[in-house]
Amino acid sequence: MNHTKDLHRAAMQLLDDALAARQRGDMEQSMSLQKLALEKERAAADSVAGNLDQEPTRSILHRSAATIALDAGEYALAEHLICRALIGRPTSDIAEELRDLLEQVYFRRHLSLRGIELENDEFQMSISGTDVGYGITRTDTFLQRVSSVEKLLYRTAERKLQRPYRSAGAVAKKFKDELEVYLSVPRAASFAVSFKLGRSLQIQFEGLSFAERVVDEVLECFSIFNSARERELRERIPDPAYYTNFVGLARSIAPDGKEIKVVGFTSVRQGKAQEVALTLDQSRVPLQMLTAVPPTPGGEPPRVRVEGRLAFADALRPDKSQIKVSPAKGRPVTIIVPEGMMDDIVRPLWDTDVIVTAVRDGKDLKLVEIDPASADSNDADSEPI
Amino acid sequence: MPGLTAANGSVLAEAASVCLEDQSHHTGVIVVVDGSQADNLTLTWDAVTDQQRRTYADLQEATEWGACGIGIIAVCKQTGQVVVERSRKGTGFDYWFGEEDDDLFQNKTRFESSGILNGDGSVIGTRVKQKLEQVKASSHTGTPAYVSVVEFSGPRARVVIGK
Repeated sequence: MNHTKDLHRAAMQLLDDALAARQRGDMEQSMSLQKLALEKERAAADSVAGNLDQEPTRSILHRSAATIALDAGEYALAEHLICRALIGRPTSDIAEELRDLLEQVYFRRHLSLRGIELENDEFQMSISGTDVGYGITRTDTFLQRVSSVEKLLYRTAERKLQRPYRSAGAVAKKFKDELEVYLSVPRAASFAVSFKLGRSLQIQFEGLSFAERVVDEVLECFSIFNSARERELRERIPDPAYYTNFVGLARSIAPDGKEIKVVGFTSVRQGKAQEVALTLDQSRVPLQMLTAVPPTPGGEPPRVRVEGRLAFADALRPDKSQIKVSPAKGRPVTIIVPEGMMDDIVRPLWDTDVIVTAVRDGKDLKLVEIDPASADSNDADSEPI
Repeated sequence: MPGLTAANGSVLAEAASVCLEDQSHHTGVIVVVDGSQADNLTLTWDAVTDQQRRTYADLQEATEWGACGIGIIAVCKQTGQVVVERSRKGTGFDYWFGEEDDDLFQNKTRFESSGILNGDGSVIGTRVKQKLEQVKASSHTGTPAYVSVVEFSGPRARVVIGK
């Protein structure tokens, strides 16, 4: 056991060194140290592989080695280590983590294009999780995300063209003709589909394709969103309405942490695949990231959570759009909807049961996030208003 | 601590200080701890530099790492135990408390940590519930766990000492 312990501790030390190199910006050194750590941790796992009773040591070392292998892009090795761990007798919680890790390994494989050739104005979206089988998924899980991605593409295109935020009405026909969004036939990966933006002959950006610029912008903003880099995102999208709209739509596309674990996007630039994996659960998006304006330091307003039927939406006053949510007991609650949320995020939930988080602003309640109420959300009681 | 190198400890501490300053706190802030045992932790750190801010720009990752660092301090203070082992998991490590001996991960207590950059009591409660649910299965098979959820805007922490 001492030999195993020495190998494991050497691996952990090498990972510390790899992280330090990454923080210095020395990615080459970081990757090289990570490979050395993988060799040591794999050797530690190998040393206990034959002893099925040596739990939880056996499964933890395998999980650890598999995680390093996944980070290093050694997917086949990660898969082998996870499967070998599961053949043993891991405790149920570690077995569950091993299965989650296996999903990530497969998802990484599915992010790769596997023979699909993407043009510069296309990108692939893949989803994975318990709601997704090989080439099959629940329609609402999938269609809602497709719809949000389409909205995001048009909003991003309008923003890049410096058009004022469109609070009401559909995308202008002329604009839609210029930048039509096409969807491929879904294919078996985890569950994947390609989006293609029509080539605009009218709109060019310094000789670059406008569609390519829009795709790049969406994927880069997804990456910032996934890392919760709120300030960077606000700098990138300074218009509060566009900002609120982006984070609201990105949150609706992000994994729910239960049925959908990862949503990935792949595009191709100069012949190389570029991947963004959205892993930030909807429930873990920091609330301060979701508010239209940054909260003042130390002045966090009180929050209110309301569950009920979204029964009323009034967008007649663009400066003060509001909704009413009717809880099962008590009076309907009026909530102000910030610009950027009504059309794309609130309206699709009209006449359904929702869970709303709002912040108090004087006498008003201002909407921060709204989600469909799931069947198992009976612990989400409304808080007193 | 045998399972926590100085390098790894520094990363957790720096990540925590970036998150605390992001939430407008200054050195000397008190973290109110509740859960199994009420407690207060006073945290001090050197002012965060621009370089550190850039290094921990991924606030999602920094929140998890920083919460882990504060949670470890809280558990050490409450149980008198130290981190003896760790292994690679997710975007960081998982940690194990107990006595140092030759039995790697055997008879050790697992430490389950989670971080919230900015959330209210109900978010903390939900996260603790999720974590307890996650470790409940292992408690039947003999792997006890400590659960810690740290919220940075308070700042506050809930530490539940399991079985």
